[in-house]
Amino acid sequence: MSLQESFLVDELNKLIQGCIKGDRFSQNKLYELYSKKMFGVCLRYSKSREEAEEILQEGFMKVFQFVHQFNFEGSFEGWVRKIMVNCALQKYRSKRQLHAIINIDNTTVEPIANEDILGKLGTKELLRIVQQLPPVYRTVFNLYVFEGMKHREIADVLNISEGTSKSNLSDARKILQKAVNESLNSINNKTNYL
Amino acid sequence: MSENLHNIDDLFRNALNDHEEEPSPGIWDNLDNQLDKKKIVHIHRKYNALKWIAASLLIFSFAAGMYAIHTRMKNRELVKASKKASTTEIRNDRKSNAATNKSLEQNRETQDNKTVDTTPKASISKSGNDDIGANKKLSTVKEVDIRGGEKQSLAATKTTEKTNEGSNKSSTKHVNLRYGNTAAILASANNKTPDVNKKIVSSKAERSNTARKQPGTSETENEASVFDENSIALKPVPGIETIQSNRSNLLPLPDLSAGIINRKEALLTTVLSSTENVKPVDNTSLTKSVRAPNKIRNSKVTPFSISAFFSRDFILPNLQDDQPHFREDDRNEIKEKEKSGFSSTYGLLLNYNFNKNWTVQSGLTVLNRVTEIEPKTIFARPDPRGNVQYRFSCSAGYGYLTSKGGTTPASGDSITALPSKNTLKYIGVPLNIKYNLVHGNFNFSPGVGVAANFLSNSAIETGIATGGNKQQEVIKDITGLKSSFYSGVISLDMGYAISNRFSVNFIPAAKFGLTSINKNAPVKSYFNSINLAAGITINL
Repeated sequence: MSLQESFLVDELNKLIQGCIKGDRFSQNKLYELYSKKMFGVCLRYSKSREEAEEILQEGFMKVFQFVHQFNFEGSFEGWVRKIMVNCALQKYRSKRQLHAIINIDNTTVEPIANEDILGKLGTKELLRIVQQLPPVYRTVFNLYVFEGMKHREIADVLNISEGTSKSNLSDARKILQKAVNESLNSINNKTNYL
Repeated sequence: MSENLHNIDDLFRNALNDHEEEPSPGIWDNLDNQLDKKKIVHIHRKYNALKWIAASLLIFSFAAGMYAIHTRMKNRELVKASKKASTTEIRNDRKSNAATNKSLEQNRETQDNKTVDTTPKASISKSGNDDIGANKKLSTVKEVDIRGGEKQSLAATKTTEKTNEGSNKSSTKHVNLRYGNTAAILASANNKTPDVNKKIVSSKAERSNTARKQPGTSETENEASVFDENSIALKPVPGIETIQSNRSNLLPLPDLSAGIINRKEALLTTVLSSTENVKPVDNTSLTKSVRAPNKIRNSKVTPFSISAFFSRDFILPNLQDDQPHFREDDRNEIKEKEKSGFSSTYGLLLNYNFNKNWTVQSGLTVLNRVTEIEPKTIFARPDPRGNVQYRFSCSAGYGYLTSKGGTTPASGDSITALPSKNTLKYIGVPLNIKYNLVHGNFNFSPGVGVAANFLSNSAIETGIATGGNKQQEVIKDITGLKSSFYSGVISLDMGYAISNRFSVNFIPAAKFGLTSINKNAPVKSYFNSINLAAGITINL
């Protein structure tokens, strides 16, 4: 560990200790340190910016509430991220009965061309595509791709069967592929038009 | 296709995994406010335990205050009764002394009351042993100023005194005369015969100012009794000898009558009797009357009583869906795995009878509820902090098993929990109202009430089989369990009085939860039960 890293760890530990004591300054500093990163996580799990802000707020409240239980063994960022994901899942569960059933048309999805999609579409457009996914697909996709969870774990967390988890992931990918292609075509058309 | 799928996964992972975005500045403001509120909640929770203690103390201090007031009133009555008794004693003593000084009295009376005609037939019935003339009649009392010889009608009374507010009623008739500050009134009965019977009205002169000009009232404190002073009568009244002989061993009192006669304020009371109007007085009632104070003391019953009871509770489970997140949170599954263990309630209650039929009851109870849980599979779930731990759900709520030393389970891992036990203990503050139906020694009191129950202890005891060994686990922090709940009760108190003070009770009751014991748990649970209680009641 370099000197700079060591210094940062010490500073972070001081912030955590301050948060344990309920020091508002430390809490504010901790929020400033992680809010942007965690807001990125929350955005992926929600359909809108407003919903993501709700999750972020609830998540940080829990962080401050349970910070004294952090055992300083693992990554603090990972710990905070886990809390954010759990808050997103709680939000999903609370609204699960309101989620509409989605019918995926069986039309074949064209494979994505090997080109610089990220460069063309940009992060914001890709985030918008993820946010437009149906909640259950979005959640399964996030847990599988970003959290690295296995289908059995996803099934337990979402209280669905393993097969449903796999099916949902597959459907999510199809929708995403389709959306990406559409976005690319739209951009290409605009370029050709110009 | 597969390659494309991986491409799309990677595409989004690379694009969004480290994506950062600035949230609205209002988020921190909201957090700041919420953190302030949380502090308040913490304080609220901190003093939550003290709340029920304060409520209990309030109830007990109220009851103690009521008891103190009642005791003071009771003591006041006893003082009155004992004063009355002592007055009777003094009167008897005076009479005895008067008998010993008979000759002297006669001489003085003859000198001072020349203008007054007296009669031996007239006498005044009064309470206690003073009532000598059992067959004598009372009608009108006239008081005459000795100095002027002018007759002045002050009172004509015939009263019936109740010696006790409850049980002891005396039919003794009194003539109560009050006159200013005079300590005694010399009375002489005037009739057609030349016999002189002097009547002395003994009064509590020190208190008579307030009772002035209120003839006929029978207040104990201001009572003035007229009694026969037969010692100066030319013809003694039958019965006086007995009293005199009974009192002959007492020391003679100073010559009160002489002093009274000499005082300017003294009045002469003339009693005109007519035998038709007055009933004879029974000597037994007089004796009772004298003993009344003791009887008052013995028969006095306070409106307070204390009941101690023990109840076996038969739980009727009532579970409703609340927030089932996982498959093991299913209401039916929880219900199937659970059965009621030995549940009981015991406590101490203070009863206040605010009239003959109605009783209010309050106190402290301890409710123990034990639920036996069959072996079942539990799953590892992420807790609110993101740590994956085995989660145990039951009708009270859920909790996480802290894995000690073992490998951290992955979400969804399962393990078998051995037979488990959920124990809940509540301190209750009931408030019941009962209607009393008395039949001989039996007392039937149907009643209704409510109770506030405060959680004092909760635990889930379970065991995990690990490699042939049984690892005991106790979950103290049951998530979802509320700190208090309210319940209602309908009861029938059947009591048998084994003595004036003690009675035994059998109390079947139905209790029902007005609020659930938990919230934000897999199931909402209500405490409904049939209780069979036995107890003892002590009248204070």
